[in-house]
Amino acid sequence: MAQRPMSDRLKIALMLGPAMIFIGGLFFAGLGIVLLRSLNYMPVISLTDPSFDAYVATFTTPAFYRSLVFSLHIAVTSTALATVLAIASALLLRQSFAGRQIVSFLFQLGLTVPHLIGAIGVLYLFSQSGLLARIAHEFGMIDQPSDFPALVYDRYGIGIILQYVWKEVPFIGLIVLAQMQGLGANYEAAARSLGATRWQTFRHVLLPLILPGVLSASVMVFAFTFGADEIPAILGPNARATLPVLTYRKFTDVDLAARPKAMAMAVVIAAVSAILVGLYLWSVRREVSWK
Amino acid sequence: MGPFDQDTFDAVAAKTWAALNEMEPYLWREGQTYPSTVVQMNDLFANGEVALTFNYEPAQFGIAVQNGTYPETVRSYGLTDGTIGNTNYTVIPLNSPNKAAAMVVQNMLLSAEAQYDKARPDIWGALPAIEVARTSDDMQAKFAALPPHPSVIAGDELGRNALPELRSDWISAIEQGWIDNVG
Amino acid sequence: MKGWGRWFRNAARGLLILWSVAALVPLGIWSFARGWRFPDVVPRTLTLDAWRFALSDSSGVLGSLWISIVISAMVTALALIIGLPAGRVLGLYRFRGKTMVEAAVLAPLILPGNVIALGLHGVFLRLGLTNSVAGVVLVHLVPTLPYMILVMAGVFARYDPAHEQQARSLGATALQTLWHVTLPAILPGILVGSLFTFLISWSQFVLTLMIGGGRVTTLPLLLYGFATAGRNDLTGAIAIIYILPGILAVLATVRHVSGRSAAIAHAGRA
Repeated sequence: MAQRPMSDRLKIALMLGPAMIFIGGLFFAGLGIVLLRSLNYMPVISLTDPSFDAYVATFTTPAFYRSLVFSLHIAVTSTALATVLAIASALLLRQSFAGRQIVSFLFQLGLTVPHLIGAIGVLYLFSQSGLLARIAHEFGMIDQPSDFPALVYDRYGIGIILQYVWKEVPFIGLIVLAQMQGLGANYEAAARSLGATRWQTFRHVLLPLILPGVLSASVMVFAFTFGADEIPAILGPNARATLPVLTYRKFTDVDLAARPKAMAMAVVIAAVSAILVGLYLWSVRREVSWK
Repeated sequence: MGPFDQDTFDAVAAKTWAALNEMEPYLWREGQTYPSTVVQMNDLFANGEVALTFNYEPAQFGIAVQNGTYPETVRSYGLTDGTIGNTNYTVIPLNSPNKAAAMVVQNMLLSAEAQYDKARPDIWGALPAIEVARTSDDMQAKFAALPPHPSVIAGDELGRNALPELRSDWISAIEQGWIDNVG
Repeated sequence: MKGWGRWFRNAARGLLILWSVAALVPLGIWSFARGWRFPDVVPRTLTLDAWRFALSDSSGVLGSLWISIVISAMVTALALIIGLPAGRVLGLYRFRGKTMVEAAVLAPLILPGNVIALGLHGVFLRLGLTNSVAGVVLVHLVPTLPYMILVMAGVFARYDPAHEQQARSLGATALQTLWHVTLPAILPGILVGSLFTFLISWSQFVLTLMIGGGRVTTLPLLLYGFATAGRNDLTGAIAIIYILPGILAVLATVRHVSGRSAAIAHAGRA
């Protein structure tokens, strides 16, 4: 029996089957239920008449738009800053220098630290009575905590952005670094020998070559910073909630009738992210790892 | 205060919002945002970001001094024109399957010995929920010998102006009113 | 000019180191501090109290550590068992519908897990999986399984199955071939995939809270409890305990870890 080769199609189906069952049964089932409930379909609390009420209610609430804009602001700013700093870090780390291994190790550290820890660390570091404020006080730059700029619990989400940048720079940086090392220095050397300046070499030779990696990494960072809710909940201001935080508040509302609204907002979050998945697949098609 | 009454609420609420709005310039971050939890506010207090904080449980000030969170100079007080007070409650649900056993536990919790342990600063430091004068002489002496913490306001002093807790429908109205008018 | 350039690069590297460890410094100091208040840059009193409490039975840290290890180990084992064959198929075969399968694997890496958990919560509630370790393990598979599949697909894309046929034609049994030919070739990939899967599960907070309902107290939940109780010293000590496995993992796999695997490791999120 064992010697007879299975047909390839059966083999593929058997080997892919469990994975597809788990991804389908967990991820797509979860997504489907969110979609159904957002349409006011929730037989458990006798909602059996599908409607777009939750969407109408969501799209006519000013708080929804404020949260959407706040979330987009945080995601765009964090992604842009993290991407630029990551490329700069990769440029610094790719040459060999004394102590490079230690610097590279410390650079990677943030990648392994859970976001929750990063957020608490940022809080202890950047609050108006945090470590930096104390150092500023030691040097006579401030007299009291309120003299220090409000970097956490602030209305611009600076604390949230600082945490995301801290956590995502090593992530994007390592991808870019791997790409640079894969490319070697020949292309740039050729450009320099043909008279290009350092900036021209970077802008017209290196950057286009590392762009696919940069793009795929930063799209993932954008999707994550747009959709996560624990960091804004810890470091954000009381008065302004990001869209995921608003969603979670609606989900945990004592009034069960608020659930469809939470689900509708979750669908909006997923839709914005899904558009990014499409762009991601389309733009980095050829770069995906197993091709 | 009884069940929620819109007329009574309207009569006093406006004054409350006005007072709260008036003090906004002197609040943390000029009232642009507020701490989300009392713990967050306690942390601001420990670091001198705010000048005062509050707590439901006076013993907490002593505990915070003991574990180093607050400086030893911290003192607690009750508001002279009324301070909301209550104590911890235990209940037995109507449909509890083990009522007799639950009552045994409650008797234990309400015993002079358990209340004394609860009042010991090294255990909890909370005020006893029973009338100490009705316990045995022996226990009364033990209660009297409990060392007062300089940061913790004495129970009888706090009890002088204590007001009962509001019913929850009042709380909801106050919360919504605060969000609409102040926060 | 040259000297200035080098000076600038070294200064920038110094700043990079400072920035990389910045958020962890106050946590480390707090774990040895007693009453560290503004404006003290260093604590007035150093103590081991927080560590003594964290490592005592009454703190619950050791219990939570154990639950976290069990959950993350189970998630890793399941992800490997399910993800390895799927990765082999995606890495070695071309078939109809492959693009769809790839999209299905990639989607959970982009869409936020907390959105999915909102939907799963109701189903798990009905199946009695909320507030249970089993439920938490299952929900951790949402962000981890696609990652494991991607890593294994990458491994098999660089793998030549002809070696297996050669072994078989030389008389090796299927089991011998697996043990002596296939496994040694893909072992580094298995190692990297497993370690990162473990870390992604290890760092979950929101998913554990939503499905575990606070009953399954993994280390991050316990830590969050102390953080929201205002005990910064205990928070610091537990945070250090919590991040140690990750640091050790990086040290252990530093030779195998490339940017590529880090790329997908981002799915770790929280």
